[in-house]
Amino acid sequence: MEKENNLDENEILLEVKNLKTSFFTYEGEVKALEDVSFVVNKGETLGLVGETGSGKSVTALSIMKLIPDPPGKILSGEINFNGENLIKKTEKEMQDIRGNQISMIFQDPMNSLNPVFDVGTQIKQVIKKHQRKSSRMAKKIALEMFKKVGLPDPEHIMGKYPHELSGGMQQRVMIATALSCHPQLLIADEPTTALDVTIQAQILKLIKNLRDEMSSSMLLITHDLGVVARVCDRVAVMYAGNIVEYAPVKKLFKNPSHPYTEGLLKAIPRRESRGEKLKIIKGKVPNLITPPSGCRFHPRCEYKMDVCSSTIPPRKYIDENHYVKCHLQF
Amino acid sequence: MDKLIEVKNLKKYFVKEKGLINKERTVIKAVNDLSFFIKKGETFGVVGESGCGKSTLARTLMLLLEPDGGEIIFADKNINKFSKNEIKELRKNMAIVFQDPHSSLSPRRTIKKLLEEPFRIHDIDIENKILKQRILELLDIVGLKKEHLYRYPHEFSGGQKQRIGIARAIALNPDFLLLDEPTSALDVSVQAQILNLLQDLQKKLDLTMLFITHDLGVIEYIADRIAVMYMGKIIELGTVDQIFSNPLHPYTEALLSAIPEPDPEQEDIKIKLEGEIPSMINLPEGCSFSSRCPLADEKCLRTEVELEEKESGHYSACIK
Amino acid sequence: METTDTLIDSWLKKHESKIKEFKYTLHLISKSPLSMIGAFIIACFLLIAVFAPFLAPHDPYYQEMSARLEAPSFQHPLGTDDMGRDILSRIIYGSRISVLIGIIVVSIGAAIGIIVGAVSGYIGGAGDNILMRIADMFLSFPPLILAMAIAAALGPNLRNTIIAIALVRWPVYARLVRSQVLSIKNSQFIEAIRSMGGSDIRILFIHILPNCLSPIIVRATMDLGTVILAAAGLSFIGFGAQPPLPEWGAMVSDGRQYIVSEWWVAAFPGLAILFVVVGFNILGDGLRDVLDPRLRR
Repeated sequence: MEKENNLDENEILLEVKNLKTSFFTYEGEVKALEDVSFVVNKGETLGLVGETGSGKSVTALSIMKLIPDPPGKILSGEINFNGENLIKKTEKEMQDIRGNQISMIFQDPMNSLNPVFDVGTQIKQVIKKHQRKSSRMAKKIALEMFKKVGLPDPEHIMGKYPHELSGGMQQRVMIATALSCHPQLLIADEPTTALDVTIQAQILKLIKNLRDEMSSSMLLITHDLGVVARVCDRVAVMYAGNIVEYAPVKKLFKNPSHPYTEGLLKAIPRRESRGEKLKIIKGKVPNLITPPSGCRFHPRCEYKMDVCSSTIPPRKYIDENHYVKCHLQF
Repeated sequence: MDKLIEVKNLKKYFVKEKGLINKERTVIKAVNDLSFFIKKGETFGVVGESGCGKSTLARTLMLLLEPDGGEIIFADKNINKFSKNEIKELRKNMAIVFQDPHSSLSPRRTIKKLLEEPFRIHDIDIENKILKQRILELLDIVGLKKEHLYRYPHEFSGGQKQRIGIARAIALNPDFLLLDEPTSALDVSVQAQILNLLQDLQKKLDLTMLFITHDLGVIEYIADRIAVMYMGKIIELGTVDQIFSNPLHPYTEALLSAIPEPDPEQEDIKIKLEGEIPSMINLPEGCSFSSRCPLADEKCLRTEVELEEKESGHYSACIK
Repeated sequence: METTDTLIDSWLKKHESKIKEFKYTLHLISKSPLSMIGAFIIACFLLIAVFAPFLAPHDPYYQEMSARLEAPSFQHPLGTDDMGRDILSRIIYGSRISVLIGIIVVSIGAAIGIIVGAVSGYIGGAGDNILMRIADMFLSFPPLILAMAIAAALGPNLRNTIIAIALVRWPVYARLVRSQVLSIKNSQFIEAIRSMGGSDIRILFIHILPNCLSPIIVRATMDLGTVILAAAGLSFIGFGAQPPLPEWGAMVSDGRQYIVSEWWVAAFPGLAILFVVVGFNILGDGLRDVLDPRLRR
């Protein structure tokens, strides 16, 4: 409750403005991000939800400036982090920021850990690189982090190789590594998708607690609306390279305004809907080489009007913290 | 109600041997003494976390793996005693849809060829023209179009590929359809489309379905009766209402509490279950859940637990 | 007119995906300069072999004793050999022999290798062990020595050279195919076919082998170069093609006694071998990149 009232009083940590990213492939230009704008305040968690191909991971990689080039390119827009535009930074400057001020957790922990080093070496390397600490200090910090993320017997785990740990433990190691340098922003890209429900609950709780404890901000990327509801303060719903709705989490779930958000929420199977058909969003995600004109959602929208296919909808602010990219009247 | 499938004391073990001289045998009891039945026309759900043996169960039921014990009875006939030809005949009657639509279709075959496959395998005497008609009909049933006929799998989205997989599975009008995590690789909105399609098909074709998933939301929506698996055993079995409104086993309870509900008004994340999923190799003598169970005591470690009927049609394997 | 139009139309529609895929392959090839150069060399080589009678200025067997060992000139652009035969014409005709050897050996080797490898990988267990140990036996001999032994036992001529090299090459394919089959046989789409009751033969030949094709094509392309080199080597030491056949290796061998003063006799056939072998190798390399499924979408 408190948080919601504080939203606008908070200081802005990350501001993404009109971000446009494309991939130039054989088949043509994949317009992955059309016009993405959002804000992450200090100490707050923004959830970026969307389905496969909506551009959520491209957004994260754009912020980290890790878009593979070629074929990818950030065409325009601003990414202001602590008031500095990251787009103008050189690769060298970015290397100092990555892992230090902004760190990232990926979906598949097995692939993001190096299989030939033990996990202790890997976390120590990160600490040594970014904090210029001695080996002894690095080890001390690493042990502390391992304890914090709830790894039993940290001393013992330090010497283990990634394949000797379970998926949940690996993800804990990743979180410890990501948080070891006290980043101001943590980008978590589907951190629990590869995990089982009971483990997922543990990891979500852990992320939430650590974020509060270290007062980091977080950008949580997921396709799971349940996860968003549990962890986030605000939500940005993405569809085909656009943020179609941006709202505080409670408002979004209580009062989804964009037809796509509404459709997503109704598509979740629940017991109450047993026996009846699930309400579906017809059709499929558009091809982003030749995206639909106007509003990219219009071919699938049940409230489609004439204007939808001709004009890109503007951001309509329902109130200060809640905008919808849609032609409908609210 | 008639039973279509009955499984009695089904077992499937995997044996790993380590070392050259001192052979160390480790036995993984992936399917450990399972008994249940599926009624005609119902949807039977199997839920469990990764490694609980649900996929092994699927493969054993589909006769892709040879069981190490127990009986499978399909339409009142004991499959164990079937000859090779009888098994091939039986395969017309049971079909499976796999989890990963990207890897369950031969990459170098057109959709037409993929859908012709079941007819060719069973040497069904059918004119090419009529076969094509039938294939177009199948495409129509699963919501694909005529122009998709000569495309290759990689040209389709995940949801469309899953539709192709379903079309292939129902090509010969089977009675029984086994779905092994059919929507786990799909997005929510696509998942909803596929779930709707499956329900339509069930009504239209009078299918009996076994639906395997780790997603409790999906199972709650689609299944009539549910079996909860843990460490190769069924630890609770009952109707959806029984399982979801009145879970008897502490594991089921913990599982249910761990689902992140899409509702921010709910209280904070509850964790009823600490610790990792233990390895299947060294199972405790007694209840396999005792290492994580909040209620466990001395007795649980020693006593072997069996499924017991606690109320009508509701079984649980817990001595508490 | 109209009917042909609709026929073409329906044909195009039916094969739309294949055409798209083919165009994409061409696009990838055109983007890789290496494979373009390789393809160019090989295309020239094949054209020369096919049109040899029209391209060669002289009869490759005609001995002009008055014009022995002449340096390159207008009359004989690459000079003449010790029998007064035109070297250019001999190289042009020699390309036919090389193409023939290459294609026959690779086809035989690949055919045996694919069958052995596929069966071996698919059945596994003891059968797999036996087949692979036999393959190992062939692989453990230095290939040229084994070919020499076979050629010596069967008598030195072109046919036996082909048999000899093919016997040495098949294990390479067998191992390649086996590893492919092993990785594909446990994939889900095979399980799907099995669940429908598909027979082993159907699974192996319709579903597994077509998916092993790309690496086989790459291997075979590179192998063509290796085989041509091996054949030339055997001919060079006298086990392969016998005079007066214009085989490149034999020609180099003929010219080696004049290498100091009349260098062209050995140098030009040698260069021909070099070009063709390098051509096949870089084409194979290029194809590997193009056909690599990881690089395709």
